[in-house]
Amino acid sequence: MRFDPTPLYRLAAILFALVAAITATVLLAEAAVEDGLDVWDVVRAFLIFVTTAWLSWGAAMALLGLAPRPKSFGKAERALYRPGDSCVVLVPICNEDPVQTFARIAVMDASMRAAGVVSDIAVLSDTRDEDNFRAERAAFARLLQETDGAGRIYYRRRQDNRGRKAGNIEDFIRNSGGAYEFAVILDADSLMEGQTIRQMIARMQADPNMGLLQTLPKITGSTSLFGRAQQFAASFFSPVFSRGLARMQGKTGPFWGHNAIIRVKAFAESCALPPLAGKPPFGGHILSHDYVEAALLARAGWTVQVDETIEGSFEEGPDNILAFAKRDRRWCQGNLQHIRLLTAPGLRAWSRFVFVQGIFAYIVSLIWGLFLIASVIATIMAPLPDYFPDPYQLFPVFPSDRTQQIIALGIGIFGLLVVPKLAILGISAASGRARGYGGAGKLAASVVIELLLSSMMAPVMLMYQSKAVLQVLSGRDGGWPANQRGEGRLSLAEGFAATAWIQVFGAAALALVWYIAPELLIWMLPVGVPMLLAPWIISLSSQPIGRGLFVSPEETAPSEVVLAYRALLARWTGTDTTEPADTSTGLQNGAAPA
Amino acid sequence: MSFDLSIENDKQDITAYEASAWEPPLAPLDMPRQQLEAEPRADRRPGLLARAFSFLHVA
Repeated sequence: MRFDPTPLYRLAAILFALVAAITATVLLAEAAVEDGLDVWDVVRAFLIFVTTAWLSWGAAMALLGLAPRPKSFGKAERALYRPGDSCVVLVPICNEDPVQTFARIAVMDASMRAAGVVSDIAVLSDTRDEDNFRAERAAFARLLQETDGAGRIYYRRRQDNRGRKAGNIEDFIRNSGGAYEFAVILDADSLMEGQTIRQMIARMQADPNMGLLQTLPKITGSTSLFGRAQQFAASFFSPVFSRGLARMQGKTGPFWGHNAIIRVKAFAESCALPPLAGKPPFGGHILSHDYVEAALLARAGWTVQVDETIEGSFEEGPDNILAFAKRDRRWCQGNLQHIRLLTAPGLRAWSRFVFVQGIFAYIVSLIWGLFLIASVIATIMAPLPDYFPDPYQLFPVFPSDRTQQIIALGIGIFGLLVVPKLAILGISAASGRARGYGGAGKLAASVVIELLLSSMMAPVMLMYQSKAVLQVLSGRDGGWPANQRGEGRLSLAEGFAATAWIQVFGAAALALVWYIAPELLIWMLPVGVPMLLAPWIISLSSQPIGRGLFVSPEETAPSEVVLAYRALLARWTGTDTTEPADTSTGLQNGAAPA
Repeated sequence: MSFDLSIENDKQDITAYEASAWEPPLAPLDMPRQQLEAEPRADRRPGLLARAFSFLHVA
């Protein structure tokens, strides 16, 4: 029997997080009790334990992912594609841009046929807007015409969108799932190479117990400073974090809702989600359904894995902070809803732990905020130093200086955030991976600017996440707003309108600290100043930037399917100036329409 | 060639293609509804945690 190292990876990560959290707590406690122990010191110690444990957990994941996979990883399984098993590519859509969506489908269809993949494609529309629905039908008709896809590419619109995306896929499986062995689940903005889908099917065929295989999609097409920073991080850091995650999760892996393949029978047996009792935000349909579906597949004994080495999997990302925060609000509600599922019967312990992590990803912002508030209160409540504790004392007794502990604590927390990224940079420079990112110098500049940018954005995101958590806890349902994709340039006026409340909060907090505990002001500046600058951060980061910064291999050597998509979209939208005489022939023959 | 999405321009295409099947093949598959929460029992008192967090509506 093959040795499974997953428990060792988990143990290492848990021990690392515990040791780091205990060290931070001890450092803080030593400094805090110097002027006597009070309740606020205990509160602060607890909060720093929790927040440091969370940061360390992320760092542990990156450190576990630093060691590369063996070169032979998954290769043998991926090479053994058998065309006999039926497959369908599912594209659930809801009020998306139909031209872009169907252009992606056209090029994926061509790419699959060029790769020898036999697969249907089904567009599953939940669109409620009638104009958009008519546009979808027109675009679909054109898609069939250009790809000769009748009888192979399908389109259906549900009468109601019960259960949203999860319900949409469930509806397809109930009605048509019997016709297929595998289903590739995509989002409207997903793009995949035919070869990638071929490898995914082969992996599923090689392991009959594999219920779901998740790929790591790379972000493409970003133009703004924010979008390109995200795109760079997804390309450069995410594979390492995902490898660490894969090692920790083992066969109880993640599902991120798209760019993944499922075994239809396994999914049908295990993943019909019930609505939760009560009203939203905690009741009703499960919003973050993917986490739950992964847990249910594992509960039924199926393997769920992420394979970050599979290339040719793409998606698009939000181009500004507001679009990101809007999506984050939905994810926040979905993850907090998982509080209800922590005691669901029969789940693997690790699946419950994954729910806890998802809940924590949002609650931790609130905990950081509470820690800052508790620190200010503790300073106010601290008694004045007593320089002459004994009667008739000749010389004063100065309280011992604990600044060193506080500085060590600050450096430690900063290190947990920065060291994993610097380690990834160092290893990439040594291994030659940096070449794809413009060379070691350009890569280092991109990493440093990404760190600075994320440090500036962190307090703003902390405020948005804290607001989202408080809204959900107070019972406000955020619904399921459509994703904003593409052009997202924001003016300074829009930045002010969206962040006035953050500026007011930041200014009030800084003024209060300056008034009541001026010695703490310097510690509050890294949090307070970005809040004051929030409109500029939001507006400037949404502006387009050149391609000199945040270079990634997906950009310098773009995938064929990405190039084909851009060319086809230009032709369909009439922005192409180099149109070939008859490109539809290329699509029909299964060649990439360059 | 531009891709005009107006329904009028594509009426002929749509009529032609709607004649063929746009719907995916019919091949029903059973999908049993999963149980994620304990069935509520009338005689059961809410637990300590449920009462403590009742303001979250999660009990």
